[in-house]
Amino acid sequence: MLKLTDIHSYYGHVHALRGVSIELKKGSIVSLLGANGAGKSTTLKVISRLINPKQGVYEYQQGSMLRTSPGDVVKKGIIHCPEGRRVFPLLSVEENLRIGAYQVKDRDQIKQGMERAFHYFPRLKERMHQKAGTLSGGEQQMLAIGRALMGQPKVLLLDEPSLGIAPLLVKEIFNIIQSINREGITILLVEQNARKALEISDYAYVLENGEVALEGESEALRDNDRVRQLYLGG
Amino acid sequence: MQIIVSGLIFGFVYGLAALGLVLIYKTTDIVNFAQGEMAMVTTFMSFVLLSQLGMPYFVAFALALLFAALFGMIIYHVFMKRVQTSPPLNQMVLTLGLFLVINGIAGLIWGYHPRSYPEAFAGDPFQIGSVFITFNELFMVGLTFILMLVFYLIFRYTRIGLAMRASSQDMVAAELMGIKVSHVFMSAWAIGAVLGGVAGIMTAPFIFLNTTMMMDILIMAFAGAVIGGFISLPGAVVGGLIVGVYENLVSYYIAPELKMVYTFILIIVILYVRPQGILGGPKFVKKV
Repeated sequence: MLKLTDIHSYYGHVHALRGVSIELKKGSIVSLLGANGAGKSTTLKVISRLINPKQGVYEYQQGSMLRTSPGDVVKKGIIHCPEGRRVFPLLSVEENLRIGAYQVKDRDQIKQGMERAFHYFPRLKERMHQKAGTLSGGEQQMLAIGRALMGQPKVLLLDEPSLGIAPLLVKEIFNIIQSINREGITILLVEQNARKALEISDYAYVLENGEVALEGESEALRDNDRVRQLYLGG
Repeated sequence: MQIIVSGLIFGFVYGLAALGLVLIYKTTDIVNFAQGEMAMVTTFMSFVLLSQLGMPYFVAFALALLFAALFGMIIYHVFMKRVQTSPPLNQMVLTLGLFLVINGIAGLIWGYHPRSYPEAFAGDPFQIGSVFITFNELFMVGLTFILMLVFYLIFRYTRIGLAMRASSQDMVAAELMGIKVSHVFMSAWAIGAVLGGVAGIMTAPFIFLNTTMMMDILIMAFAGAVIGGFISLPGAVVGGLIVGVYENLVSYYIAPELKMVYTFILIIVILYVRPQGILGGPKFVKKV
């Protein structure tokens, strides 16, 4: 469905991605693991077209995406839920959700999207008129995911959804990610919490220094010695 | 009483000009020193349409505002877009440079002789209670008020308004929502230029039309914006009104020549005592 082949990308002179190739199969959950600075977030930014790679191929539904604007990426159903949540702090919860549906023109669809967000995160409904900046970290993460759902994703890119969140909530959020996937939405999950990510994903890539160091079925990777040592704490 | 009412009338104009400044700053994070000069050019355009091409007042007015919107877009597209991610100092120097360039070019085209500019409505003042007011002044206040209201409604309740507020809080996240941030910024510049243009056209009859006409207004608008906190839109309007009254009181009780001096003193005092302004509040720190 979505495929990156041999992507190279630079930040100034820093060679951030050195030939990354990953593939998302329709309806799957794929996790992208690795240490800080391995290139996980950069990979997502390449997919949402915030970064233009120097070299490589990026295909989505059989077409090249390297000339597509970030706005059109959203329109095609690839929604990026960024690291650090980045909700709009001075907008209300409702307005944050509305802005998530910026590319959706149909009012009924927006309404349904709103219902869906509240179905997954009832707490957002309670806090509908509150400014997003006043929410707790966990609630902001829920809002960020809800906001991404408003854009009617076919592919959802989630960047560190468990970062800085209470353990109990982490479990809930991972459950919700699985239910979202059951709706048929393909998910690319970037995580530090490798154990959790491997539990729910079908396939996984491990990035090291901007390269894919390892890849395989998540179940297989869980038993891989190197992954155990480096990412699962022995 | 008369002093206060007259001050309020001008205050509305300052508020309008301040609104333009604050809008551009709030959405794009750029302090536009060229705001006044852009308004001056718009006013000259309306004058050309009005006097030299003999158009009716409101047609000239509308066309001039259309010009202002285009002018704002061009300034954004040609100059400001390139420095959008540059350090604030670069941006500031660029708008200061634009200020000088626009002023110079306008001088070359239209010369330096002050000209009289017609009012929207002629007529003698009439009396309400103890206050004298002209129909033209009422028109000024009414128009400003309507503009502010329309503007508020757009900002608060429309899709583009929501996109503007979102882009001003987090450019990258807004881009990820599918918002074309550069279009949003361009509309902020267009609207800002229109607001300034209206302020220019409204003041021109009182102070004569010339290339330096907007300097004082710009300073007053800055004072108004600072009082309002520079990021609050209602604050800009309230600030403008306060400055208008303050200026009139200074002119009357102290000396008209000193009103600029006292306005600067006001800016300094506000920045010392309450740098966030009356309605400002702390600006949200953006995570990069």
